[in-house]
Amino acid sequence: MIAAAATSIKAPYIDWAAFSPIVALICGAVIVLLIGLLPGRRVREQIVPGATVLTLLATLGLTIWQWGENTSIISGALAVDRLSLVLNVVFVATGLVTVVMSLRERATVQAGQGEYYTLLLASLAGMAVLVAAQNLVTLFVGIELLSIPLYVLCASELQREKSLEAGLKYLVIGSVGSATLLFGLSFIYGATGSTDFSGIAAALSSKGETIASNPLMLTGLGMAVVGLGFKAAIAPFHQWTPDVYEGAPSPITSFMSVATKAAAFGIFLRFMDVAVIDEALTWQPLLAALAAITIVVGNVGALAQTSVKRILAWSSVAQGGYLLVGIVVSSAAGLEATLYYLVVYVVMNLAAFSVVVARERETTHGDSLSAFAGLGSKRPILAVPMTIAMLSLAGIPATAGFIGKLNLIGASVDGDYAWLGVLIAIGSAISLAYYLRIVAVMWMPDRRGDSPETDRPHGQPEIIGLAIICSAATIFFGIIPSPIYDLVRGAGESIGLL
Amino acid sequence: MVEILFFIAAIGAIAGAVGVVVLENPFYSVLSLVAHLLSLALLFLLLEAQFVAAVQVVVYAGAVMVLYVFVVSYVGGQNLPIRAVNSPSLRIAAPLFAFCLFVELMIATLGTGLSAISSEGPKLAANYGEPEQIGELLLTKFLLPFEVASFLLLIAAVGAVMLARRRRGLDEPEVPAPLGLLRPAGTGTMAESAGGGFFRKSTASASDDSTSTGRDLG
Amino acid sequence: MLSTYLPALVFVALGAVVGGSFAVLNQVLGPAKSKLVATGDPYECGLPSEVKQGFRFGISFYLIAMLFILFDIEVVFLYPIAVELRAFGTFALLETIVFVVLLMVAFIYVWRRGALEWK
Repeated sequence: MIAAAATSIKAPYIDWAAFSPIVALICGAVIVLLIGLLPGRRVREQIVPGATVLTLLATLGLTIWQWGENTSIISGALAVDRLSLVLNVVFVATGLVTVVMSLRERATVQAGQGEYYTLLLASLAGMAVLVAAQNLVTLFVGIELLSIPLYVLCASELQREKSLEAGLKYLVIGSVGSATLLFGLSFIYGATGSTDFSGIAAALSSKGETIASNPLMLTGLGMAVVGLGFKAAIAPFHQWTPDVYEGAPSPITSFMSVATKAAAFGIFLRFMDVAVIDEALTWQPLLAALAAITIVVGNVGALAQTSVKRILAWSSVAQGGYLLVGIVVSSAAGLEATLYYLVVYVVMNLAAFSVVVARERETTHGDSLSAFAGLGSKRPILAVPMTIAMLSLAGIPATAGFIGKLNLIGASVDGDYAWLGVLIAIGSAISLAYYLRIVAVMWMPDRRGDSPETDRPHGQPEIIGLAIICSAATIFFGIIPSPIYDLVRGAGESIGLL
Repeated sequence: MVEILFFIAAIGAIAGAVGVVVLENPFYSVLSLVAHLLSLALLFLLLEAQFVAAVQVVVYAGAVMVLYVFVVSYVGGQNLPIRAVNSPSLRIAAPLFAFCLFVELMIATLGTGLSAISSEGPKLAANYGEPEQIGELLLTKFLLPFEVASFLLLIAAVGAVMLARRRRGLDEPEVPAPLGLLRPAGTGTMAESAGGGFFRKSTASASDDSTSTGRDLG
Repeated sequence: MLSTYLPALVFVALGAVVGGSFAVLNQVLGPAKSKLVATGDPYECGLPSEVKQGFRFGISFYLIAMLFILFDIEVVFLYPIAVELRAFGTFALLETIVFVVLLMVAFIYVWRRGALEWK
């Protein structure tokens, strides 16, 4: 009986080349963890971050090596195509920036360097798996591998109550999101009889009727959207965002605000545009409503804040609303506009967070707005990058954010959702109020004279360097946008969109 | 026989779930959850998912519940009976949304599921739900999730040890930052939107006590 | 299918009957409870117990239980693979090795970080 079985079962073929970026991340995480166990101060403070950077560079190299690939690997678990490769580059770049930001971070000492960087790499591996997932089971495993290290990283500053609180809140809310997602995915499997995205799409198109006639599928889809909405911080599932972003160590906040968002929108794009694209007419109004709510709630919520990290948290909610518009239209143009804006958003948000991290360490005011008072005259090297980042996030012309928003508005008009394009413009107008408030605090002469003392003005050249590089890139891509166009072009076709 | 078992298991599952929410003492809630999970195992068995049923008993009703009991003991549950947040808006909204979700799930399952009840049920392979079939799936179709699950468990172990490990020099409480107290009202914290300082209170009390306990027994 | 689980059912029923009957018979047949306070205590002699209502376990219990669950789940995954090991031959062996190596890394980490030491 065993012999007979041996002939009938064939082991799946594994395309190691296409799989290599994820393997590199996982192996790197394991190596970094083991290095972190070795004794010695030098090992902890130099070799561990060094090994992390090497892992990320190796992943970047392997991703570039696989550029142009468009295959489905390991029994259809993962898709290696333009969408996942572009996002891999985004994740690796964010990872590198986060490592540099973390070099002097207290959290790495309290958590242990080995653990901290291992969790960072594990979360990146989860993102890489998630955005390439084309199977419901892979999707869920990827989202858990992304989330669980982040829950711990949020709480990694073990002596600060706010950090622990952020970790706990993120864990509780994130678990609710995961559970909702899993519930929804099981309904989708029940309705279509397949866990593969292609199988779901085939089941939906073969029925020849709308999804509305199948309550199981409709409920499943709704719950899946809610679950992904929690991860992507889409209103009304965004309530954890300000508290968690504020409480988490700043490098981790920065990592979450860009990489997690990119991963969540990556799988959102793939799931909506591959698995359930045949039912686009059913879910488009739902997502359009969510996008509208998110833009309004995010921008209005940011107005009354006094902490810069909270402002950036609400702003990231609002930016998520803009990104959602590209998914609503469910066209190749929409997908590429979302991907374009994601890349741009990563660059400009990292510039802003670099300055926040620098300022947090230079003064005793933490991330409060008062830490930025009078920055323009005292530390223009930080004030200028922050100003550029704020203007770009608001979408002022000659910055990358402007072109990104233009693309999204263009895609929304082409996709018969012009009113969402109008809403993007209105949201940007509202957002000027709080982005310019930060700019004003920095450049206005300090009347009250309570601007904070700068304790160690030259103690962290690497963070200042990051701020300058990211803000320079923001301007560069605002004037010459073609490199990013080349990067994202073809992503829509690679997953079969028109 | 199957019908009788189904109703026993279904009533047990619902009663257990209700008990988790209704009971005041967290220890009773955990025990109620055990009853719920055992009933679910029986339901899995009735669905011919034998391996899943066994795992449910071993992992969930066994190991996970022991952890829950430890956690409830650690957090000192008896001093803080679980109570709803005292907010009128939440008291109306929460049951309303729960009811909506309930209706939605009923429509989803009854709307499509009833058509299969009168028939013979699905045609299953002879070894359906046995470890062989699950092993085959884990090695073919779900190979990647299988290996990634191992990595995920590794990461979970790292996270658990990182958070719970006792360190030298980390026991002294930190001086709270003065600016944290100056947050004006109405900035949209989660505590505000939930209608009360639930998280703040619970975390504060947990951290207050964690310095004094732990040493007693640990 | 369900008939194969009859022994399990009998076992559960037997356990419930034996356990329940001991509890009931003890109430019915046993001597009436003394009203003395000391017999209600966990220990009838020695110093009075100091354990109060707010009794709390140390964090080590939690950590060990957490690690137990993680390795327990690993075993759950390995069991179906072990059943299919012969059918897949070398491939299954290699995949199992990958799985177990990751498990070993977790073990080495937990061990070197001292999480298995009772503090």
